[in-house]
Amino acid sequence: MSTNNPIDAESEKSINDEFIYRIVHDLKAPIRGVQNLVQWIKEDFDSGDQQAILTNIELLDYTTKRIHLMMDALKLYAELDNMDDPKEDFNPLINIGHIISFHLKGKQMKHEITGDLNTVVLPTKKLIICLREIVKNAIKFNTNRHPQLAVRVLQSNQSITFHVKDNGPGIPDYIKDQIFNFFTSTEPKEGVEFIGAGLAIAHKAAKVAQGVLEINSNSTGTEVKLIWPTE
Amino acid sequence: MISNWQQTLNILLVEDDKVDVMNVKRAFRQNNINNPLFIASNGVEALGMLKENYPVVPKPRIILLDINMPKMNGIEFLKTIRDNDELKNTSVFILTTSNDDRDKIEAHNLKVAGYILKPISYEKFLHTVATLQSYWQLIEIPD
Repeated sequence: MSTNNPIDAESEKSINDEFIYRIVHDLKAPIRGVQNLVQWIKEDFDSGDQQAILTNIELLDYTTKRIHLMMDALKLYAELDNMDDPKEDFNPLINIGHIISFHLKGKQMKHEITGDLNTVVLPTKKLIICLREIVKNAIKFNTNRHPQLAVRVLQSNQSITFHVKDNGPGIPDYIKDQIFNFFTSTEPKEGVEFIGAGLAIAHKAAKVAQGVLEINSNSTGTEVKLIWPTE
Repeated sequence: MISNWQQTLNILLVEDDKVDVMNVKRAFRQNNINNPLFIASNGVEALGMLKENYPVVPKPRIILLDINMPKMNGIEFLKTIRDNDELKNTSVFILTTSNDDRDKIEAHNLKVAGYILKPISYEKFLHTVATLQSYWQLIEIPD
């Protein structure tokens, strides 16, 4: 986003510099891991330690997969600014239903989609990306014994509002002011799935579309409010 | 032969990255550091291992601490143990990738024994651990 105000341009540059610093810092760790693992495999090959070689090869496998996921997430984040996003039919019940079904992957979770469920015509690519990341988080991190997900849709002349509410453990206080940062996760770095990019991508998709993404969370669950302009 | 200081001195590594945990284990082995090494994957787990109900016996007198971890990061953990009468004198060495001045200042304000940047190469890390070992053998650490 360009600006003619020198003060805005300066603070924008500073935000971008900090973003790049953080990304490089977070990518260095798994890349360093790959370098170390390759060295250890060579050492263990010389010493004939088969078990250690197998363990290190498995770690190498998951670390490279993790790097791939991180790079894919960064690519998508970068593409959001200039993404080709033609107007298409969007039916909340069908489109959100598909996203929920895809990400449940056999997990038992009570879910419902209510509200204004008429089909609207609007640019859908960024919207679906945003909803996908919100729903994915709501499903993935819900450790409640009886997990539930409720999506309410409200339509007006200018916008469509989604309330996505879960009964999960909520976002911990220590991370609340960082949830839209890249590679910020409540999960340890050993997971291939949990790279901590979803909400950063959702936040940017909403911002580029001139929408609003708000999150309220406590120990009884999280509610995400997404306001998406239709004009 | 295991020396006296290795027999009595437990070391706690607080680190969530599996490969970095292996890094430390291998570097210890290659430097013949035989001290019992205990692993916690975040600050909450580490506190559980240090406090009275679920202790690591004897209590680790050296902690190697990463900063960026889930549930409770390194700085929050450090603040917690510095506020605890039984744990406040534990020698803590930060072992991190963070070159951020804010983290360095905060760690030194919380009286770390050292702030070490994880080296890029394993050879350099081996050398770092060897230097730490020499330092630990030289210094007196309170019980």
